[in-house]
Amino acid sequence: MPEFQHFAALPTLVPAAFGLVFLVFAPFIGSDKKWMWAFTTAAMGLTILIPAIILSKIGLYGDVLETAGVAGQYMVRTDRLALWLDILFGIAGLLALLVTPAYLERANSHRPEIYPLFLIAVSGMTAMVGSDHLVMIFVGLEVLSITLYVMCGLARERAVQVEAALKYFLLGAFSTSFLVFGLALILGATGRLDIPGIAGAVLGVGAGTLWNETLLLAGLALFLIAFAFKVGAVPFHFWVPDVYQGAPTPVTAFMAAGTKAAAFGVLLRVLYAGFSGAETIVDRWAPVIAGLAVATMVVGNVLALVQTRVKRLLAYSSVAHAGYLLLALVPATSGAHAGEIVGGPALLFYLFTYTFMTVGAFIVAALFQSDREDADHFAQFAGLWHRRPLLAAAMGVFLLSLTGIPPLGGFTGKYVIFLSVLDAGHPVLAAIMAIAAVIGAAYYLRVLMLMFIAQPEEDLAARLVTPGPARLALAVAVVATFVLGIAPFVLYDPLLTVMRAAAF
Amino acid sequence: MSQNLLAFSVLAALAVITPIAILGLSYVAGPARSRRVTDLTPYECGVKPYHSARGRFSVKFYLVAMLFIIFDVEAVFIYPWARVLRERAGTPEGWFLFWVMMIFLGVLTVGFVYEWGRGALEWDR
Amino acid sequence: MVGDPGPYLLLAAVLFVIGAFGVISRRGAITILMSIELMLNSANLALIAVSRFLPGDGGAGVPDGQVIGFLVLAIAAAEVAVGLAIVIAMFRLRESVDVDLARLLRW
Repeated sequence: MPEFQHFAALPTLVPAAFGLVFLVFAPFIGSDKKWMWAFTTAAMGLTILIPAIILSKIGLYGDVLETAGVAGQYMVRTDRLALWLDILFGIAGLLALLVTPAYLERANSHRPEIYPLFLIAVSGMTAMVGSDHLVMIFVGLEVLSITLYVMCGLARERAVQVEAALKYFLLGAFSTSFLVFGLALILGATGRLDIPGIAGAVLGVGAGTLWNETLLLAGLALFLIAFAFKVGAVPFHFWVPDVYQGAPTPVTAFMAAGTKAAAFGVLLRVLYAGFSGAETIVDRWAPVIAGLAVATMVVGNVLALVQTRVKRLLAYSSVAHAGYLLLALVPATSGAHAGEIVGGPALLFYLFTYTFMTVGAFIVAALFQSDREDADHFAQFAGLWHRRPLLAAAMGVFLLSLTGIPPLGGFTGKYVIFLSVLDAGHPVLAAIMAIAAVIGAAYYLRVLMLMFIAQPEEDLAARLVTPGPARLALAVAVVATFVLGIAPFVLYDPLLTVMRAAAF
Repeated sequence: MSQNLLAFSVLAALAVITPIAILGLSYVAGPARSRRVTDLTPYECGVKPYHSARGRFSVKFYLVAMLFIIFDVEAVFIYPWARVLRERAGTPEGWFLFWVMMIFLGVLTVGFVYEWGRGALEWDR
Repeated sequence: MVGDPGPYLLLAAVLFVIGAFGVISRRGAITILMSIELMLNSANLALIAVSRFLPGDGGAGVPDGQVIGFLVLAIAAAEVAVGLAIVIAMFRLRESVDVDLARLLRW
């Protein structure tokens, strides 16, 4: 096992350093900011490359928690789980960056700061998942969240964006205080905040080394509340539709994919590596996760039915998908893997497919941006097929994939989660998931029907411009959605062997 | 637990009783109403205020306070760092610590250059 | 545990609940911000209390919680600065910081 040691921090340091350097230049450049965009995109490419290189050095296959390198006494601990997710954050950031100039052009907003802020947000995400210490996770989460508050409200003169930023900020800060209080209680109960230390204390639940079990459970509960806020799980989802609708669409795309992946990466690591030791503890949090998952799937899908705006619809769809992902976290109750999170590989796989399809759908929505207040209203999408067949086809692929139609990535992702939930011995949960997915099909089909059957508005074609980078992003997303649907093993096999080997 | 809880309840009781006692005393022993008109004016000495103190302040004050708060709070890290550094000065670990803080200050400088470049430090803008 | 941090945790929990109540019941964005600060500082109190009572270092506790307290302070300051900036932007648009007036984004 190669120990890169200080190299381990590179996936976090590289985007942070580039982001800071570019940020210094932001106030001094004029409205022509093409080079700022080009440099940022190149740096984002580098942030995908670095974890990919480290991953190829330690090999794709193997224990997911095998360490590639440690820096600063567990504060930075880069393992396969972190590296896979680092690549995912880079992809989400890169796809969003590709469409950002086109969006800013149409929204008539000229603030070059938004480009380096993408990099800083990515560094926060990588810090979150690449650490074995709850404090580092907290700091990473704050770097990410504070950057996103700024990105949401960057166009100060637009009331909708400022409102979205205000709501996101107030609820985000509210959930942060839950996280800090949870950390205090966990520290009090176990005396440690590094995940191996917590795991050791949890193992000693019966042995009396744990000072206070109630305190530990209260701390875990507060921790879960904070992260339920961040992933937008029901009943902590109120901010999701408002913020997703109000934020600049590329930021929404980045937020929907990246934040979710980071938060689920942390949940997977903390629950699996930290709180799975003792059955008495697992029995307390497993039903909570299952309950959250069911509520999130059902409420998200049902509320999406009544939406009339594409961004809001995708926001509720994102809530519903948080439910599917939470379901993968429910540990097995019986069998050889009792008490373990068997859905780990399915969760990671679905995060990847979800990134491509949801970012793709938001990119299409971003191209519809204009000064009109109802830019993303369903009516605007009517008859897209007759005017822009390629764009309509791309959107069709993303929506069908989100629905879970066979040869697409969304289907394979839902299928592996479904199987892992059955594997874990929860047939009822699997059935609820299937029903929720069927309800979900209804609202995606509504948009599809509008796009392909209804007659278009007159000015539609004239308003829609798809510049080269945006086309590239859409092409990548479409291809990836197909590849993950037709040949899921390219990604799922490494993830699966990885986790099974680690007794996931 | 019980002993500490007792201490806590005593403290809580004191916290309730003390303000009531003080307010009550001032009600009983204090002057029922001011004898002279100047006692009622804000400065109690005859100097008249220009205008109401409840007017709105310029938003610039909030801006400066905000910028100040960030740099002010970061200074909290420098004191423990300085204590630790003195113990290890001259050793390789000491130099490592030194450069860590230099990087930290460098990041802060990035923020400072940014806000300067954006013109946030200019009062009349 | 050396000694009992119970009363401190109780106090911290009470402060936390007061803060949470403030966030839910108030309408002014600044008041909500202050309530959030109260919650964060109650969490800080809990952190410092438990770190003082944890076994280790000859009964003087472990320094972890106090160090984390510093981090939380600094991060809270950054958060509040961004929050105030957003509130000021909102005020310039609306001439008010009442969060109930933020109703562009509904359904």
